[in-house]
Amino acid sequence: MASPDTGRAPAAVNPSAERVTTILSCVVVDRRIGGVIFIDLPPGWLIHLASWLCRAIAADPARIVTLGSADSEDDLWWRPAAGSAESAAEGGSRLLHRPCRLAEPPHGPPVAIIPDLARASLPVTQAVVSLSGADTAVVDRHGQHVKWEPRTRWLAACARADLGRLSPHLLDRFPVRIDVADLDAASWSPEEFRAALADDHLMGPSSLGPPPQPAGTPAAGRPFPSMGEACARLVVKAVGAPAAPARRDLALGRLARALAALGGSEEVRQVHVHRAAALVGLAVPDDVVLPQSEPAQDPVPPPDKDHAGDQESPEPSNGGGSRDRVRGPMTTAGEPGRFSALKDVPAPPTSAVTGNYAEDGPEALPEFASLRRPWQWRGKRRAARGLIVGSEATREMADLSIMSTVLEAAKYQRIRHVSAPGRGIVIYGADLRRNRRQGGPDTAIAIVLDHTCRRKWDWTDALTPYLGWAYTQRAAVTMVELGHRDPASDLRADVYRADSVLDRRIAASLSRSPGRASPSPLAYGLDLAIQHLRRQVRYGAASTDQAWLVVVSDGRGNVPLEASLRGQLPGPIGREGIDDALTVAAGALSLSRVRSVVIAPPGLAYYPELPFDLAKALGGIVADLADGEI
Amino acid sequence: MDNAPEPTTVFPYSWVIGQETMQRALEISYVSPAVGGVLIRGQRGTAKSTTARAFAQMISGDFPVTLPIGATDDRVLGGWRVEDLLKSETTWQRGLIEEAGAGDGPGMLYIDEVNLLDDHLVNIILDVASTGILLVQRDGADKSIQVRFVIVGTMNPEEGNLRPQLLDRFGLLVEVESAAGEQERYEILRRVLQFEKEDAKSPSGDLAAGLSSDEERKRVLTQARRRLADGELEPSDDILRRAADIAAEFKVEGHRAELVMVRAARALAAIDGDSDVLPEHLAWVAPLALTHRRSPSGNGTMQSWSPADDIIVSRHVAPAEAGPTGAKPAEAG
Repeated sequence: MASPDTGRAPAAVNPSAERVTTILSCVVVDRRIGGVIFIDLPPGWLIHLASWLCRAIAADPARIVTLGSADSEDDLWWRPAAGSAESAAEGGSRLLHRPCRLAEPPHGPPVAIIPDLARASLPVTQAVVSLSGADTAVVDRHGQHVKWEPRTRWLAACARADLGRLSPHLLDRFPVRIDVADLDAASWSPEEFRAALADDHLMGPSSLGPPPQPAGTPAAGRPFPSMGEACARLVVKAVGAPAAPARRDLALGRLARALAALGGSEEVRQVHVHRAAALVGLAVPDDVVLPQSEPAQDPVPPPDKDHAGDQESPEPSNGGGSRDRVRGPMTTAGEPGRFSALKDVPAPPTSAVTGNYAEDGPEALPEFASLRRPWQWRGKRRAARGLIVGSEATREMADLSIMSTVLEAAKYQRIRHVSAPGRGIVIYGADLRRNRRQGGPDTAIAIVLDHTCRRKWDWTDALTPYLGWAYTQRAAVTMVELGHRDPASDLRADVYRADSVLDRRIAASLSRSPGRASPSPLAYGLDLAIQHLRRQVRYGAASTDQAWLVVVSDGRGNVPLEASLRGQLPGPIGREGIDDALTVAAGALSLSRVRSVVIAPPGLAYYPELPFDLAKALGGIVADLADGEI
Repeated sequence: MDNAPEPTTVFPYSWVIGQETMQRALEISYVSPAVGGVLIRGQRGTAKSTTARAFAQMISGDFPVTLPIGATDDRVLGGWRVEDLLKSETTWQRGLIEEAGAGDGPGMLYIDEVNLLDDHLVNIILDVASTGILLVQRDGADKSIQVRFVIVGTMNPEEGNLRPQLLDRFGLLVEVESAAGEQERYEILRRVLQFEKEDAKSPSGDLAAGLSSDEERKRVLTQARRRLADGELEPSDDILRRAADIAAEFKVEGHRAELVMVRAARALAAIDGDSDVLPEHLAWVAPLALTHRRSPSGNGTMQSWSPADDIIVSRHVAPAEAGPTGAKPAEAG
């Protein structure tokens, strides 16, 4: 089928592209399927997918709303708009207020996209939770009351590594997930390359092709296909009830129904459920296979003893329905028990069959209450930091939102100028508005892990109180590692910064193996940690109100600081490395609001006094692993 | 062009599956507004918003007054109409609280995702809910308006809990859970897909029956409400004592818990068509009135209701023991 815009035949479609177009076609048929997350989508693709979708529903792609990390509440819901000169001359105003973007009546924008769901701003994530799947929505801001019936289709992109950190409440609004990491995998032929240069709609060799002409859709006056009991039960089984959220049942059921509608069928059949499940990476249990044929009545075999528990389920309240399971041998090509019956839609790659619902997995570590404005503890000074997400009334002159203040004052200018004609804009104290900021971390923790002292000691318990503090305080993390296996340099420490302890690298660092007879550049590691903390405490955008420096070491640093800086050992070193570590540690004394603790392995046989010397130099304490801090 | 058909009717209240406790709590709050509103707390996808909206639609024929997440103070409290201000005209625009409390009886203020609201909006609602007076002193306006409304809120506890002061403002707390088994999930899926095929202009027999059930239910609730307004179902001293004893055993602070329990038990008796408020009614409403009022657990989280709590309540609602003569205390002497 040729591209509607260029008349050229589209490039060969790869399996991922075919799955994408199939899912988008289903969303065309029924927007209530829910939001779609494209996992590991190549950059720049999302807007093209949204444009494809818009063309399929005969909507103007210019109305696509893109939401990102910088959107504030006013960006989403309300905007000042210019009135006409004629209305001003007639006693109206040049300044009007209009609902905007997401609140556009009567049904909102046709498509909303979030190019990186993991970095969307708080107002955006709250908007998704409020609007996606809602029958009705309201906005009440700045004198405006707008009510509409949202019919927006939501598309988002997210890296697989970030999914587990997102709010499950947010992810639940995107019940359809599809892994598209290989969407751009195919290499280009010269002809495809030239075609893409000439046509923006052709992203590459895996271009989507034009939207299909759906046959037998409700738009053609035909009702949605019916779903019988067997298919409905198959849906519930595929989703994995009762552990999985109920919204996924509805999404999968609607997806199967849409596939049936696209195929012109009046009834949803089990093959549609299998296809739908495969599209989103769900595996239908092996014991549920396709029937011998696709009769109008599903065969009713005796129940299997492995599923005896199902027979204990209560009867449905309406007295209808059967609890029998449907079984029978497959007849379509392919091995029994596998969904190789998907002739029209290629099976996804193995990596996409499981794990698209990262929030269900044991490794999921979402931030607590990430859909709420984070509570921030501040010291006496109020610092203007963090992403601006809105404005709020204030009685102070700090961090003013000039535009919001002026707009608030603009409402009253005519009245105020009656008593004070000829003056410029008159602003009262009640007009003052300050920026409402999402806020960055105002706490920090630097952890120095000396892997050479670890050996068989499990330091997780000892670190737990500090990691827990960092989690609840949403502290920024600096991790310094030394003496581990395969460092960048034996004579230096490795360092990285993370936004929170939920960063996967933190867990990897804690479980990393110590090197064999590795040097211990403790002085260099301490120097790195103290420098990072100094920057955060004094100069960072998130000026830190309180911080911890946690040093996990036995104090036996055997690499002098100069050796680390030069990258070579000068020769026999004696106690020079230890003395350098103590000297560097003294730099922590100058850091206000930073508390230090040394965690030493229990039962030190040699130089047991070194951790105490180190703690003294830091101006801190040694953690007593038996009885608590001392 | 949008290809999907759009139903023009709300999901029938009687079609909600597996959430009888939530439905009954909403009904109690309607029959006896003095109970003080309902907080529906549960995981995602448990029909919290669907049920609350369906209930409001059944009772009033319209969606409830809703407080959205991004609301500003002027829309919550009320303010001048902006377009008219720009023309030097002052036209007052009622806020959401006043709209909710404007009817003959207490209205409903519906707050979806109540735990995501900004603290300052929460404070505004707290103040008005506790005093029943809406004070508006802003933008040159000076108004004091009596309002009566109940708050119905939904929340997902994964996103954090409410402050104790706001928790106490809700008369009843209902903890909802996902459908227990595959059978119930199947029923829910079947019902929702069936609803999406409905055409409001020519509803199927099933939908018509559902809407008819809603009408009947509304009639029952309205009659129950009238019975309470007429002074029927006054609780006996025995009921009052039992309620106080239950609250004391759970060590809840203040006396709001037993007041809510008695009012809710009374409403439940009216809904059920009983002639008296019975201990069984107290037992049913006790979890809804007490869960959010007792001390949090050691790590600060709210303790969910447990079978052990049921045993405690059952001791206080058990029939009175016979006296030493073998006669019941009411008959002795």
